[in-house]
Amino acid sequence: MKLLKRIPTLEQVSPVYAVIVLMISTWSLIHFFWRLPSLLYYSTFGEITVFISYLVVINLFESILVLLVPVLLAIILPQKWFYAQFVTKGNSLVILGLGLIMLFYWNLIGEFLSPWVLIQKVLIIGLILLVLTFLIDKVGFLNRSIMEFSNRAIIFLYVWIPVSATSLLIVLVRNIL
Amino acid sequence: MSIINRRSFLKLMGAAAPAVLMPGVASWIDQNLRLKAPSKPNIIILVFDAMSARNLSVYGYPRQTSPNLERFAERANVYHTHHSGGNFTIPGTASLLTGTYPWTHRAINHSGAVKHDLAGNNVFRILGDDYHRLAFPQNVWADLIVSQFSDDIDTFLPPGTFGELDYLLGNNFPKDRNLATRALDDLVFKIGQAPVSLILGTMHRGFYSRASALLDSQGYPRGIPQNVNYPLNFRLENVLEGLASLMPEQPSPFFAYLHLFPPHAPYRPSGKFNRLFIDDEYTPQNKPTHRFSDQYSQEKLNLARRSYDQYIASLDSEFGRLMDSWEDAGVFENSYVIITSDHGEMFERGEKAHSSPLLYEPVVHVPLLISTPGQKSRRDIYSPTNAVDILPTLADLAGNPIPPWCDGMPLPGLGGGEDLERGTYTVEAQRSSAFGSLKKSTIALRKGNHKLIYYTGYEAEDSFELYDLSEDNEELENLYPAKPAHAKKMKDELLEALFAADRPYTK
Repeated sequence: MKLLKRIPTLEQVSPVYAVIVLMISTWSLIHFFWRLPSLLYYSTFGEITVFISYLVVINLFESILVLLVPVLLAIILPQKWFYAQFVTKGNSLVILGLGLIMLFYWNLIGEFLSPWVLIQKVLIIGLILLVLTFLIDKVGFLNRSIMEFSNRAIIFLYVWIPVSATSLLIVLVRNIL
Repeated sequence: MSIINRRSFLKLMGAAAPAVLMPGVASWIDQNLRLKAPSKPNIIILVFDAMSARNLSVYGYPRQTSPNLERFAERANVYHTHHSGGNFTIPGTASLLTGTYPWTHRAINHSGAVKHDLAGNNVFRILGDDYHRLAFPQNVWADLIVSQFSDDIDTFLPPGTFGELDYLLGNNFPKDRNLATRALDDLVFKIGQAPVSLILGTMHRGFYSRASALLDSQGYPRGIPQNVNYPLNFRLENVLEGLASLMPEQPSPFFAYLHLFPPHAPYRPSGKFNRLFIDDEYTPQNKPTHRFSDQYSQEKLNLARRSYDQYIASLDSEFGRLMDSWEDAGVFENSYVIITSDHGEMFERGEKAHSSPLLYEPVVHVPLLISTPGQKSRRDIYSPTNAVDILPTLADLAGNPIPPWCDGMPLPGLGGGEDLERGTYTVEAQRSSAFGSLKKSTIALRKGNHKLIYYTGYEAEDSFELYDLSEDNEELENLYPAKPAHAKKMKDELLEALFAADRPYTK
């Protein structure tokens, strides 16, 4: 029961989830728009809507997957270490983690180098990220900036939730009916 | 047409004797007769992706790349002037399966699709319910076309069938396969570029990359063959063995479209063929670099050509085993077996592979060998033919009417007559919109011994090249300025055909 009490509240989760959604969606949309001119050569508006639906559903799943990381840390780490500053620490972790993967791909665009290298080193990278997360929390300016940014990002969820629900519905209908 | 081969006849005679004594056996004979003696012939199309006729010894290539195809040719109609409809998989496959040129079916772009209102115009539907229709598009690009026709296909084998590794995600959405594959495998999770999906994309390629690294590559010094840009690996011998056992199991009459990925790049011959042709004395002709090419050096092109030839030889060896197996199973006795390709491959003029604006013979001249049921001797046919002729030929063989929308005509020797002056087209328009006129395109018109190539939209002014292939098989001397009357005649014919094709798309 003590563990259940450590699950972050909706107020705590929302700003972290908003930042996750913002980062993941931005990445996806940038890459989707790179491909859009060629898609427009041969795809109808309806097909492009279906492509976007699949993309949004994938983003929905991965955003939930990423959210689980800070939530799990809040549950398993001592309350003072993570739960108490869930928004700032969760956001720091997410920004650093996703940022690192983005940087990894940004330098490898057009190449097919094994991301297994990244996955193999995930423990070391994870440890470094955790240390950085705790260090960022000690810098007041960064702390406040993250809080302000993530609170403002929540507005993005008002768009994201209906869009992802519609996309999920489209994918389900196409695969069930 | 009713076909009972010798094997079926002997089986029936063996069963007929006890049938006199046992009434139950009589009904079995009746059922067996209907199964084994179809009113329509079985048809197998075996497509080897990116196989240029110019690199096959069966078509006179100096390197001995295809001894087993030569063996097959001894019992087949060999078409010497057969051309693809397009210069890469999407348009080439669509032309073959729809009997229309790319400017009609509009699958002209990489990952493109047949125009939706024309998707019903396909060979599977033309053959109809009388046939058990099976499709195995091992190439994912071919899958993007074939899965558009899935309503007309009875058995669909996805690209990973008979493979070693299959990390395609579209397979998991059987009701929405075509768009799911396009969205997931061709966009969100496509390998060879940064993934559109940041986290799951990373995990997907991480797992695939790990699994492919652990794959036993024994017998393949350059690695297990794979589908380029898609997470699929396969062994040639396993795929061909799979096909060997698959055909005899099909209910007759059946139509099987088997589109194999090899010898498409990456070229990965098995060990026995890995060092083939290294010390041979063959030197490919050095041709001037074309302004639209990627400017590869002749040395690099020669190396790539040798790898390609080795891969063809490796594939041909496995094809020999497949042929023996089908021979033993009696497949050739009651089936048309068609061997062809969707497009060719080039290693000259500074260009490698096939996805460029260049439509020289190595890219467009593809093999076509057809063994008719029970055929025992070779027949050589020199009339110009095209991939668009396959559909009307099959419609005719199956006793169905030839659809009026078809651009092709029945092949000579299989319902059609020889016409040496017939004009056929190959269309490249990957940088044009499928919904508009072909603004950037290369079109080749083959007519008699001549070939006219038209480049439009690539430069400020359109340009033409004309070759007499009877005198200049290597397309080295552009006769366009030297033969103005002949050039004008062919140019008018080509532009008229293009204008007619573009008419629905011009305002």
